[in-house]
Amino acid sequence: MTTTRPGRLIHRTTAILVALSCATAVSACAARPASTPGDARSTIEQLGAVPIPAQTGPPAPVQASPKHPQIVAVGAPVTVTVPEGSATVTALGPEVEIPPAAQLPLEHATATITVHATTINGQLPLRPGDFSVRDDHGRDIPLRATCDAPSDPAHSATLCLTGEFHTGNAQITWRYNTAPLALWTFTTELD
Amino acid sequence: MLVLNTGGSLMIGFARGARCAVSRMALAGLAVLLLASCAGAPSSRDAAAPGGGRVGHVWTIILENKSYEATFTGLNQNDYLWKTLPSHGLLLRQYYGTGHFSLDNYISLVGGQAPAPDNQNDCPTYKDIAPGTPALDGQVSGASGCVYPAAVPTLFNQLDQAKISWRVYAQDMGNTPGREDAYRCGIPGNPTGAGVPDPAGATPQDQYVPKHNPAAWFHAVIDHPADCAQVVPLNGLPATPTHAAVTGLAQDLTSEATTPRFSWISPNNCSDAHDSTCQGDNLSGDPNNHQGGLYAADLFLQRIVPEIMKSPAFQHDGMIQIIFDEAFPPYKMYGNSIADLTSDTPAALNTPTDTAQSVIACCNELPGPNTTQPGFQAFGQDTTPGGGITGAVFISRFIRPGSVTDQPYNHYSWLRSMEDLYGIATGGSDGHGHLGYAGADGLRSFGPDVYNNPNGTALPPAASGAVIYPATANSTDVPTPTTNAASAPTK
Repeated sequence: MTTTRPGRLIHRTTAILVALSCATAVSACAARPASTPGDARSTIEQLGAVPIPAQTGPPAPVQASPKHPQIVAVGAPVTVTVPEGSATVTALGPEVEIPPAAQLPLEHATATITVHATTINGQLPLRPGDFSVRDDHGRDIPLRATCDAPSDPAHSATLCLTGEFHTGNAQITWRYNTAPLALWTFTTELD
Repeated sequence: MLVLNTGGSLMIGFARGARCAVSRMALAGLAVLLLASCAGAPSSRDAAAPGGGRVGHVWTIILENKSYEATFTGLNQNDYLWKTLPSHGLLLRQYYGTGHFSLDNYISLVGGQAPAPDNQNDCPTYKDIAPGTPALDGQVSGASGCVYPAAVPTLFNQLDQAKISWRVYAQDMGNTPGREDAYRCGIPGNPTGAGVPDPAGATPQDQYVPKHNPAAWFHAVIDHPADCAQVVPLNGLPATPTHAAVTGLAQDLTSEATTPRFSWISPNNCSDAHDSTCQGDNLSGDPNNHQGGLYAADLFLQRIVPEIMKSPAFQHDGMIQIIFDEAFPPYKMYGNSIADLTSDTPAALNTPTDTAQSVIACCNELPGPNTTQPGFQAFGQDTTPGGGITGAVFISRFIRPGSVTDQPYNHYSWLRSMEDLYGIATGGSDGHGHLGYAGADGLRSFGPDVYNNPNGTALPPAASGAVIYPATANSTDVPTPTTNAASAPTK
């Protein structure tokens, strides 16, 4: 009796332990997908906190000149310096005119790019003829100035450039004496 | 005797020990088998991508209509989606949409259904799909209409069955009462009979559009109030005399207990980069600024990504996915077309265009029973067998910051991956839990190129391209990444 009890005890203990591991395995299986055990606090303690990217806000202006043109997304400001002065210039849009009864999606529509300039110093020329639009099919889109009234003659000006834009990607380029200053890429959405 | 006895006792002892050992081995083996079968439950996921097995919370943010080239190359150095977020995670350079225009991509993502004519056309009338009868490969025949019958399940139904919490957060949904039903999955009206004409389009006060909310297009979801209770406005809803208050994303993120395991986030028609000029607010803080496109998407992402990443659920085991529904042609095309049409209108399109499927579709995408061209001959292209390359960005502690993968994936791969990640292993078109074309033979789930930091150790940001995983020929091949030592850590 006394010689067999410890063995049985060991056997029983082993069986219980193994059974427990089986039960743990079963419960782990039942809980699938288990994800990472623990919680955020213990995970961060063991594995560290995942760095969080900063909130940067609207894009800051990038610097452009005839010797250093910039390519940016539409809506992004560019600080342009030419011999006559410097200004921060932003192309916005396109603002699409969808006819009221149109069956969407359209293949092309009238749309307007608005160029807004705020003078920093000097006098920077903002001429409609210095802007051109080409789309990803290689089409040059004729533009007409539909507004050019300066909102603040001393410091800012707005230029509206309207054309018949096709759905898809395109770009508007601003040149100074034929040299590119800034190029804004944009998408025309007609659906 | 002594020897015998000794031997006998030794034998007995051995025998007893052997029985114990056998018992222990048997029981331990049983445990191992149980664990092994458990580990093997979600199909091939764990073998291919151990990190994927540890992701417990997913947030999928879907943006609109941009090609990879437009989003991730050549633009502003300040671009949040192009520059900042990939330095915190993975850039998938070969992620594809599955069709044109928007809606069919959302259908493919959550239902595995291939494009059909009306959802290729963004559903000009919100009405039931017809005939809606079962076709092959888990597909449904749909000559017209867009709302799938109750017999067509979605990922949301699969999660219900697996008792895994989920929510769809739709920005602006319900802003204008009566415009869409914020208490019934955001549907624009009753899809039966003649349906609801012209369900799309944003307004200055309400930039929600149903075509960007995948839940609204399946009777398997919209007919079930318990499911529609999980389709909520991004910012929640206040209490009314007839409805209790509904929590939004920010409230749900405050604890793991209140955070759904799967969250689908549909930004409004401005924040998702769809509208070139927004009808309403673009989150810039300037009421006169209505710039849309990627400019507006960046503003949205700057707000929502840190909000999610600060949450306990993300820090524990979360993964953020930023995907696009479709690319925006024209594509860069090479090689010879496999399906140049000669019946296009206008006739100018009937010239050989030297197109190739490889840049428009991937992963052996099938057209399905309802259309020969998933891409709908869209955007003046005559050969569009898919949705084009959009790219995608994933962020997780199980992903190395600054990593890049060139393995092709599409929306069906995404669905299959989510089904695998959540351990859904039964039913579907293949009997292994994959709906529709997510169950196509040979389609890959996200692999070790995606879950490339399996131990989950938090790592500092790194310039995108610090580690590049090439595409591999077979899903069983282990990709050998190349490391760009010149890539310095970035902010």
